[in-house]
Amino acid sequence: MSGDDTYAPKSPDLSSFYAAGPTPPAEPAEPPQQLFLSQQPSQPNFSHLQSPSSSTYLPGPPRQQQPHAPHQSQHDQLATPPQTLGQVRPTANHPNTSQAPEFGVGVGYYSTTTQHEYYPPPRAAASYPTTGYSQPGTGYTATQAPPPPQQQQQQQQQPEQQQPPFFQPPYRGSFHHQYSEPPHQIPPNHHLIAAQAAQVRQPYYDYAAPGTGGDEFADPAANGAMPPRRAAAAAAAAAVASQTAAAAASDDATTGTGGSSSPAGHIEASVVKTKFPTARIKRIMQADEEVGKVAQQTPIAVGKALEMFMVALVTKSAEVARQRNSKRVSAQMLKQVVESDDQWDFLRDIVGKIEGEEKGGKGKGGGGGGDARQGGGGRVKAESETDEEGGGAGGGVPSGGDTPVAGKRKRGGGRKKKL
Amino acid sequence: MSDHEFGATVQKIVGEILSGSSGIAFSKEARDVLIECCVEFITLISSEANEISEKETKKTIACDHIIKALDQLGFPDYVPVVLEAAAEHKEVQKGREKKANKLEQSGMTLEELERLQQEQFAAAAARHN
Repeated sequence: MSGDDTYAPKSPDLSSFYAAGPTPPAEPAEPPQQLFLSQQPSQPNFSHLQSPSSSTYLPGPPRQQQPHAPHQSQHDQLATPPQTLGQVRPTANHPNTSQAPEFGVGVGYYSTTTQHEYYPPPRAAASYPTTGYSQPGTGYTATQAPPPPQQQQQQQQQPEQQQPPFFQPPYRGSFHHQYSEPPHQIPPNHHLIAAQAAQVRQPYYDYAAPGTGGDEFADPAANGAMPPRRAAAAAAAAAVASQTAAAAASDDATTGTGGSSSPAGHIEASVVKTKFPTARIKRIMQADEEVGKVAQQTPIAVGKALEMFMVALVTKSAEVARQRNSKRVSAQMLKQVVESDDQWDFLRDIVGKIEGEEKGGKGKGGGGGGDARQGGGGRVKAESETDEEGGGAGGGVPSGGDTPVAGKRKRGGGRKKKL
Repeated sequence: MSDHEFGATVQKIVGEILSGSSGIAFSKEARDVLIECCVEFITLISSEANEISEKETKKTIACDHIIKALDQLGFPDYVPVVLEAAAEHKEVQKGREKKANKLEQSGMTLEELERLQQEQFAAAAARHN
């Protein structure tokens, strides 16, 4: 912060706020680093990178700095800590470090309510996305990001978080949103990340979504931040483990937008990718005259249920086929499956039409179907029917015996009555 | 009705389900039966849901009614997944515009995008100078 004065001329905004203005127009990131830590190799890289990112706000690099400057000025005090944060851990040079514990406490509270806000500031403090990113990895990792998780606050750097709210809005406008958000995700992960940068990201995303609803944030942020950071990270990685993690994360992020989306996809974990056309489902539903209006979401729910229904039916049929050393699922097998479970009562009429095409198959089916229902179905060979049918299906049986009959299809009702 | 198209979808999904299981296929007959079963399933669920909605004096069959119908018809195990799918759909509908953001659609890396942005900034600056 002390160095800010020298720079002050360039950034009036900063002076107004705190006079800390570490960031000259051209290179916001570097000054702060020097002042505070002077150690981060990555920062230079960031400054280059950051400038472009910052540019989103303003066309010219110098312009960009100005917009940031105000933010920085506000956060200067706070901001500085973040920068140091990464470094700070090893070194207790700055007041921030000493203060850190206090902040940490505060952070915890803040995190619950104003997590979003906090995150952005760290970046701003860092100078920009680049620095911010680097920081998240280092300083933030422990404290700032954690807030959402809250637990991660462990690190002392938390003070920074408070400031972020101011900064966030600007960043979000452009790509920055992404940048600002990443820190959140990153911090929690950091611990993990050090070991597994790539893997970490997914977790991040998860956190982001629940915590802040920041799906958007996390992905873009990770992507944007990561590339620049990597270079820096490579240099500074040795210094801080967290940075390494960040770098790794960045790598992932680069490849990662897709990755981020993947988690959502996993949720379903279904083999079936094809969706039933909702319009068709709706039509089938409304084929029943009694069915009137159908909500927009209803066919989707029905389609999903139908999908599960199919999966159950098809996989069971396939199992039967495998047991029989057959490569083809025959209608007979399907019938056997349907008759093996009460859940599929309503299909018995349909399945009832099926004759035992396969001699061997029938026998098996009968055995499996042993239930009274099968007997009632009558379709099943007399053999299986014998015992069970005797009691309940008596009426239906005659026609059903071996040849399926329309009447049998109606059995469904008949069975119910019997039962 | 629309059985042809519907049958095609069923066939496709069967293929997806069976794709993992050692070359087992559905015979044509079995597939036809399966299609019938699917239609029957839909009819069953929707008529049950219809009854439920009528009991609630609702004119429209909502997702809730489907859930209840599934529960009552012996498919309670489908409920969570269906709920999830419905919620997901809701999300997708809500966030469709947001999520289909330009960043992901651009197919460009961040570096590329940044470069592009810088170029555009420069071009804009040149225009104003």
